[in-house]
Formats: sequence, structure tokens, C-alpha cells
Amino acid sequence: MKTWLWKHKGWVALSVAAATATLLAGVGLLSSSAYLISRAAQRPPILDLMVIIVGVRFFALSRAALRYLERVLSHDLTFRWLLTLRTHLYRVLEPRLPGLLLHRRSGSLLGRMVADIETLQHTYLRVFVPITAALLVGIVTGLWLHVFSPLIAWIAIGFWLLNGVVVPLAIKQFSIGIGHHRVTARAKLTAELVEQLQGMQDWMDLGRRDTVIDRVGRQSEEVGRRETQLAGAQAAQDGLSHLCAHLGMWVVLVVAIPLVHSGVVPGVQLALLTLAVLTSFEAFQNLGTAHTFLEQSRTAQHRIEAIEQTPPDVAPAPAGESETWSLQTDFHLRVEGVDVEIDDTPILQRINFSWLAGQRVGVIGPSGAGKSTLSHLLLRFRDPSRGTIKVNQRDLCGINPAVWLQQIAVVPQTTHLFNLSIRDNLRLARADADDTACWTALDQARLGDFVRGLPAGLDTWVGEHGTRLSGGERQRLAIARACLKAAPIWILDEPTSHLDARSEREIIDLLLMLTHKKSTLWITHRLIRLDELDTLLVLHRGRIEERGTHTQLLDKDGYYARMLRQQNQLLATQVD
Amino acid sequence: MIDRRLFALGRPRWHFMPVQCGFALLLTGLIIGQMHLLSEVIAEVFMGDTRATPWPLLGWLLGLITLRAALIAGQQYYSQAAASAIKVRLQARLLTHWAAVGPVRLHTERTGELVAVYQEGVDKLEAYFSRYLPRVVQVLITPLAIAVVVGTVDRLSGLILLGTAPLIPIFMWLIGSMAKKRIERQWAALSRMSAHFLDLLQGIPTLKLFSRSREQEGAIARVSNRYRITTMGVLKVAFLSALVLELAASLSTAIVAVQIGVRLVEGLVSFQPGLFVLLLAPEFYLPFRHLGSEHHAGMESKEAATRIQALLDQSPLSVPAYPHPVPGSREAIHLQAISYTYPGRTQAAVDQLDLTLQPDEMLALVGPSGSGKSTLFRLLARHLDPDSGRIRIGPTDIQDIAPEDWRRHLAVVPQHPTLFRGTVAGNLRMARPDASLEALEEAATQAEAHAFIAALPQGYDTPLGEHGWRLSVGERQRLALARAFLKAAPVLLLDEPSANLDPESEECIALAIERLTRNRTTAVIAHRLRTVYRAHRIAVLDAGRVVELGTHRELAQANGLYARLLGAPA
Repeated sequence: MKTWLWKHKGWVALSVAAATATLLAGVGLLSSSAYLISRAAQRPPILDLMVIIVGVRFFALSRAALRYLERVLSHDLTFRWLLTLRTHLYRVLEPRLPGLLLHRRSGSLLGRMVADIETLQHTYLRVFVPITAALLVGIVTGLWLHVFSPLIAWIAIGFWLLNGVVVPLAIKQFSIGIGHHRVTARAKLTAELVEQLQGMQDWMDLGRRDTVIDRVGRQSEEVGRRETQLAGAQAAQDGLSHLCAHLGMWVVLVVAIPLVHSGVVPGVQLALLTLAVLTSFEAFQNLGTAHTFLEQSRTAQHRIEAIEQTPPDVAPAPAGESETWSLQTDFHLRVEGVDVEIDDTPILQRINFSWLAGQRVGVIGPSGAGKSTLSHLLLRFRDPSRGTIKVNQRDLCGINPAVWLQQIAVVPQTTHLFNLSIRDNLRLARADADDTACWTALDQARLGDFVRGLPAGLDTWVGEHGTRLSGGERQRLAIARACLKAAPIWILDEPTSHLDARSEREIIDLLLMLTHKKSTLWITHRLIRLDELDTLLVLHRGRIEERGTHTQLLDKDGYYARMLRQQNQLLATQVD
Repeated sequence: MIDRRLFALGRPRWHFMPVQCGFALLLTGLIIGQMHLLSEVIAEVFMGDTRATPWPLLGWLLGLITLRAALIAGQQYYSQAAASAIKVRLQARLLTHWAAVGPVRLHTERTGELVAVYQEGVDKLEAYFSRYLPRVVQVLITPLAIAVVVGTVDRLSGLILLGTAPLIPIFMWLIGSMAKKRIERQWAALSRMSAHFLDLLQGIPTLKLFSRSREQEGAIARVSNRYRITTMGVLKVAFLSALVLELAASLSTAIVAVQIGVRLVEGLVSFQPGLFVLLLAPEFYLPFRHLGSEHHAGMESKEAATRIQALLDQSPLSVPAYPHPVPGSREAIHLQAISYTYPGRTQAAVDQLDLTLQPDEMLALVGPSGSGKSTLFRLLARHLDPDSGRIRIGPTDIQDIAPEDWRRHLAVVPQHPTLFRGTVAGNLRMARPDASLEALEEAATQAEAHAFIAALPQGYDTPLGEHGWRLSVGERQRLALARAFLKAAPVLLLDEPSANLDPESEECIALAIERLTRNRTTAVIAHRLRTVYRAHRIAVLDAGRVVELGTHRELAQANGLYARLLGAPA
């Protein structure tokens, strides 16, 4: 935050100055009014009062104007701060995704990061400004009071510290345990609720309705109890904060009375002094909230820093960003003795195979066999724990991932479609693609007629995660995107696993046609038309159990043959 | 200002409003008393003849100050505690209602949304009672009382306060209604921005595949910056309402001070009442300012209330007023011309369907996806009520039986069973809480699950669920079967896994299913040849109707839909 503040120092200074001046104008308004009345009580010539009246009017008008200025400036800066936070988080996450999501069960990680950013955006408006403004108000008012009487100045300072620092910290100390309990109780409630809602059909069928309702209800009550306790602490803080301000004023009054009697302080200034002290507390009363926000920001900050400190799963890209490379004709990939361990669990063990130009390799096996991890290795989302992958004799880890991925068209299991138009989603693959190129790609993916039938055509918005399209349409769009990329190598990672049987067959036929005579790695757990591939690798529990062509494996009558027989035992109920 | 709808939703205790009014009245009294004493003290020291410190007055002043602080804390605590109770009661109501609506119609796949309403939504409603409403009460009581007191002391000042007060709501309303639409649109844009950012983060892997991930950093900055500029345009207008409030408060304080000052010089008022009035002037405006700062909370609670109410308005499934007992376990289940159409769909999921399930019969349901098999199960398990037609258990209509009683007669094995947080044993005991460990082992053995459970690190005490041990699809399925063995209900609804399992699991599950379906009235949604061979009868469903009914042999020769399903193995 420091560098950010420095970068915007002009605006920051102005917004803090406005906040301070607003508070000071409040002090000025009431104390000058009190002085006006006191002075008037002495019945001076009316002209003597004019200066004070001008002062009163000035403070009244400037307070409103300054407050407006302060709010505009500080909100503007908050939005700038948010921008910095977002780009920073993006810079942190970009090299670490998807690795970060692969080895922890952290589906909600990104959502939480976005929420953390939303917490952090308040640091300027609700932490930095109030604290600096309070400091400045303290200094200015303190010096001014010092002119009247050093004793009064020190008393005021004492009560400000009590109000702005001691009370909030004491309350925090007292409630830190409760706050912690509350967070835990709430997290437990959320987890409990998610689980029970998702499993509702099951517990109702099992006859556990009352047990579950009771359990969740008890957890809600626990949260309610903790929140009430916290409210007690908050109420105590507000009460004490009020007490500090008024008690401070009272003590100043008690001390000032003898000073008036002894003539050190003129009586006409007694009301002014009392009210100045009372109103000055406005600057310190909200510091409690600032403390709370500071605490929340720290937690959010720590979570982001923790991510920053985890090293990315892949070796950093070597220099030579502009390297160009074409694997159109000459392509030879060798996987040599590759092991992958994730959180100490072996996922892939001793994987060896080669993949030649124009060859179509099938990788098959039941779910959990390590098929996806293999595709992550080839896409450089992860590096092997041991062993090497060589492309045309070069170690894949030494190649800039961007250069390597340029050569590959990927159709993944689930395609992330951005909440943009069909055209924009397509042009991710090639930024300079014109409409003709887009239509050609859509036609290749057999999606052209569908898009032509849409009222907005290429401009059709696909919705969040592409929800306005069906599963088959989404996958075809992904295929069109891959076609548009026109890369020499294809990697298909279970492209049909979320589709119904009819779409599955159609997409498989389409992909077999598109990848004809192209270097292709096809990962699947559905054993359909595999006789068309040049070689098959059968993965089972992280190892290559069998390899060969479809016919060879059938003749061998091993694991593959068993899987195939079992699949034939299923009714074709998925066909419609 | 006080919303009847929110009251109906929150159902605060009867004493909530009277206590709030009491607090507001007491606090107002204390303010007036404190300011009176303060002006007396200052007047006596400044204008008085004695040189003694007025200790009695100061003592009283200290007392009132302390009391006021205590009351402020008390009011806040009371409001929060009452609101907290409201919240817990509302949450209990929501949960009970959701259970009554049933998992299917509740759309449990929208879990995130439901959780958000249950927690954040109810929190926002709570804020209405804990923060907004107390401020409203204060605005209605304090300014008026202060104006009356000021008016009796000094009529002109009282009139100034009363004259400026209505300006505040009028101006705020004027500016508010001008900017409201734009502000709302901008808040919506704000949440869209946040969603867009999340979308971008989730898409990073895809962007990487196209080597486009680096350049997005600039795009984020551009979008955020454009957003900042438009939002500030709106906020500049929105903040005007705060400006007006501030201006009204400070200007009228100034006017009060100036006119008192001038009349003091002329000898029309004396010092002490003048100062008293001046001290009260800011207190007159304070409640307005407090309410203004809770305005947003008030708006949010109204929005939240709409969402909560919408969920509570969903009609529950039918429950009999005078439930009949479940007739004996040897009764046939008759489905008579039942139809069901999902809300928002035009085509019926189940359409005038007739079917009878004989006692101890194993009936297989087959058909293409979307033919109504799962809907039929949902109707039988009472997660849905049919739109028309009826389901009878022997002589009794299913809707005359309490759902809980009926479900005791029913064991359901879903295709994707849920495992709850807790141990393996705890998950099995969901079916029978008082089952002994021996009973669990027996059921698990029947379900071919004992071997793999025993091999888990802590056996039956191994934790499962989100952060526990991860079981394979086949193993989860076998745990669900073990639950069914434990429940030992006379009627079984079994949804066979449709996907390929690994060869070992496949074999085990087939064995367990064979055991489980013996001598039990069973309806099974079948995906495997092995299962349909064993069924006594097969009902072939298409578009919500039974199109073929008979044994495997009869249907295989009939050359209908069933034969097609057989003939086109995947």
C-alpha cells in the first residue's frame, strides 16, 4: 500500500486534508458559536460581534463543502486502489493457475480471493483516512488548546488516546476470543448447511429429517450466541467511547473553572473551550471501526501473501520469449521414466512412450487412473517429479510454455467459455481472425448452421460459463476454437465426458475426421471407435498396464478386453 | 419508514418496539438534562458572582453523562440481542420450510444461493432490527422533544429548528429519487465487475492454452478505470444528499447562534438559556445523521426480505391433516394415471402413467434418459406430488400417509449417494442410529463393503466427507447399499449406476444388489443387462409413459424400444 500511496501522493494528501478540515470545521463551528454567545452576553458594540459571526458562517458553510469534497476524493481513490489490488492479484495468480487448483481441493479458492480483494478495498477509506485524519486533528487541536492552557491540552490528549486507542484495543483484546469463535462457528454452519442441502434427498430418504434440522438449528443458535456476545463488546465500546468524550469535556470543565476564577483563562472563553474539546472527539470516535477493518484486511492480506509464497508448479519460462517454432512436419515426443507425485501420493509411475508426427495415440483407463495428470504434463500445467519429456530432443521444461502451447490445439473436458460473444470467445484462439475465418472454424465444428440460426449470430452472448449453450454446443465451440488456432498438434482430454450418448457419438465422429493424419493425443474413458487410433496406452492406477492397437489388445484378452466387455453389458439407455 | 412486510417476516417479540421507544425517550431526557446542567455550570462560572466551584451541579452532570453512556450501550445491546433472536428463529423457519418443499423443487443444485440467503440474506434482515429500526424510532422521538423544549425556552430558536427539519427529508428525497435509478444501475454494475473478474481468473488456464493470459492484466486495469470514472459521476450526485443534510445541520446551528447572539446584545434573552439552546441544536440533527448513515443497511434489508419471502412463498408438499398408518408391508403399490410436469416446462415428465408394483416383485425400469424414470422415483419417495392421478399403497392413498412414516417403509439407493461428514460408521448409522457395530459389519458384508472398509486406515472410524477419505464411485455405491441393508425396509427404490465402474467394483455391486433385492418389493432403474435378466418384469418408459411391459424374453422378441436398447450397446 505504501508505494501506491506514494504514487498518488497529491490526491491522497488532498483527501486527507479535506477529511481533517471537515472535522476541524465541526470543532470551529460549535466553539465559535459558543464564543459568539458568550461575547454577546458581555453586551459589546454589535460591530465587535461581526468578526465572530463571519467565523461562524464560514465554519458552517465550509464544513458541508469539505465533507462533500472529502467523500468524492476518498471514493475516487478507493476505486483506484481496487484497480491496483485486482491487477496485483491477477499477477500473483496467473503463473500459478491451474496448478494451485489441481493439488488442493480448492474449488472455492478463487471466489475467496475475490472476496478478500473486496475486503482489502476498504483499507484506504476506512483505515488509512480515519487514522491519519484523527492524528492531524489531534495535533492541530492540541496545539491550539496548548495556547490556552497546557494542562487542558494534555487532558484532552489523554482522553483522545483513551477513546481512539485504549478503549478499542482493550475491547478487541477482550473480544478476540469471541470473534474467533464466531468465525469458526459461522464457517462450520456454512459447511454444515452446504452439506445438508446437497444431501437433502438422502437424509430425507433415510428418515433423518428431524435430526438434521435440529443439528443445523443448533449450529445457527451457536452462531447467534457468539454474535450476541460480540454485540455486547461492541455496545460496551460505543458506550465507553461516548463516555470518554463527555467525561473528557467534564474534566476539562472542572480544571478550567479555577483557571477562570484565577484569571488565567478569561471567562468569556470557557464555553468555547468546553465545546471545542467535546466536538474534537468526533475524530476519535470511529477509530474502533478502523481497528476492526484493519484486522480484517490483515487476514485477507495474509491469505494473498500465502499464495504469493507458494512456488508455481512449473519451471519459470526461460528467456527468448519471441522464439518461433514449427512442429508441422517434424515432431517427435518422448516421455521417459516420468513419475508424478501430488502431496506425496504417487499419481503416475514410470511412464514411457513416444508419439510421432501424424500418429494418433489413445490414452484410456478408468477415472482416477492418472489420465488427466498426463495431459497436464503435456500442457505444462505441471512438471514431472522425475523423468523427462522431450520434444524433438529438447527437454520440455526448458521450452517457454507459451511457445510450446502455440503448437497445440486443445479440446478439454470442460471448456471455460467467457461471458462474452461467440466471436470474442473464438478470437481468443487468434486475435486477428476475421468473420470469414470464424465461420470456417464454426463450420468445421458443425456449429455454423446453429450460429447462423441465432438472431445475433456471432454476436450472441454465451452467458456466464457459456450456460446459454447446451453441453454439445459448448464442446463444438471449443472445437471451433481449436480449429481456428490451426495448430499442428491436437490434445483431446475427455472431450465428450459430459455429453449424452448421441452428442458423444457425433463429437467423436467429428474429432476423428478433424484429426485425421494429425499428431493427436486422445484421452478417454469411453471405449468407442478406438480401432481408428494408431496405438493405445491403457492406464491403470498410474501405470501403463497394456499398450498396442485395438486388435492387439483384444487378442491379448487382458484389462482392455475386460473393460470393453463390461461396457457392452450396459443398456443403451443414454441414447435418445 | 417502518416496513410492515419486514415486521411480518422478522416477527420481533411484542416488547421490541415499546422498549425501543423507552430507550429513545430516556436518552432524549438525558440529553436535555445534561445540556441544561452544562449551560448552568458555564453560566454560573462565567456570569456568576461567587468564585466557588459549583460542585453539586458538576456532580449531577457527571451522573447524567455516565447514565447516558450506559443507556447507549444498553440500547445497542438490547437491539442486537433481540435481532439475533429474530435471525435464529427465521433461519429455523427457512430450514423447516425447505424440508417441507422437498429437495427436488427446492433446486438443491443452487446450494450457493440458498446458503447466501440463509446467512447473508438473514444477516441483512437482522440489520434492519438491530440498526435501522432503533434509528428510525430515535428520529421520530428525539428531534421533536428537543424542538419542544427549545421552543419553550426560546420560541424563535424552536421555530428555526422546526422550520429547517422538514427540509432535510424533502431535499434528500429529491436528490435520492433523481439519482436512485443511476445508483442502482451502478451497484449492479459493481457486482457484475466482480463477477467478470472471477470469470477471468477462472479462465486463466484456457487463456494460457491460447497464450493470451499475460495481456489480460492491462484489460483489467482498463475496465476498472472506465468503471471508476462512470461510478464517480454517479456518486457525485449521490453525495449531494449528504451535503444537504450537513448543510442544513450546520447552517441552522449557525443561524441559532447568530440570532441568539444578536438578541443577547439587545438584552432580549439571557446567557444561560441562550447557551442551552445552542447546545441542543446539534443534538436535534444528530438522529437524522445517524439514520442517514444506516440508510444503506435499510435498503439492503428490504432487498433481502424480498428474496427471503420468495423462498418462504414456495408451497410445501402436501401433508395429511389426519395421517393414516402405512398399510402392511405386503401391499401392492398402484400408480394410477399420474402426471407430473416440472415448473417452466411444457412437456410432462410423467404423463398419465399407470403401473402396479406387486409385493416382493422386482420391477426394472428402463428407457432413454429423460423418459421419466427418475421423476417416477421422486414421486414414489414423496419428493414431488403428482399434478394429477394418485398413488395407492394397497387401499390407502400415499398422500394420506405422513411422509415420514412412508419413508420408514422405503429404502432408496441413489445413483450418486451423499456421504456426510463423519465416520464410515456414522454414515451407515444414518440408516439406523441405534445399530450396533456388529449390525454395521453384517450390513457391510452383505453389501460387499466390509473388506474395503476394514482395509481403510481407521476401519469403521475412518472420517469421510469433504476433508476425509476419498472413496471411489464404486465404494460409495456399496456404502449406500449397506445403508439399505441396515434400514431393512420392505420397499426398495434402486437407481443403478449408469457409468462404467472399475471391473472389481462392478462385480461386487452386482452381487450385493442380487442379495438386496431378494424378497423385497423393488423398483430398479436398470442400466445393465445382468439386472434386467433378473427382473420379474420390465417396464419400458418413453416420454413419461409405459410403452412396453413384460419379461425380458417377451420384450426382446417384441421388436420395440426395448429391443432397440438391447441392440445398440454403447
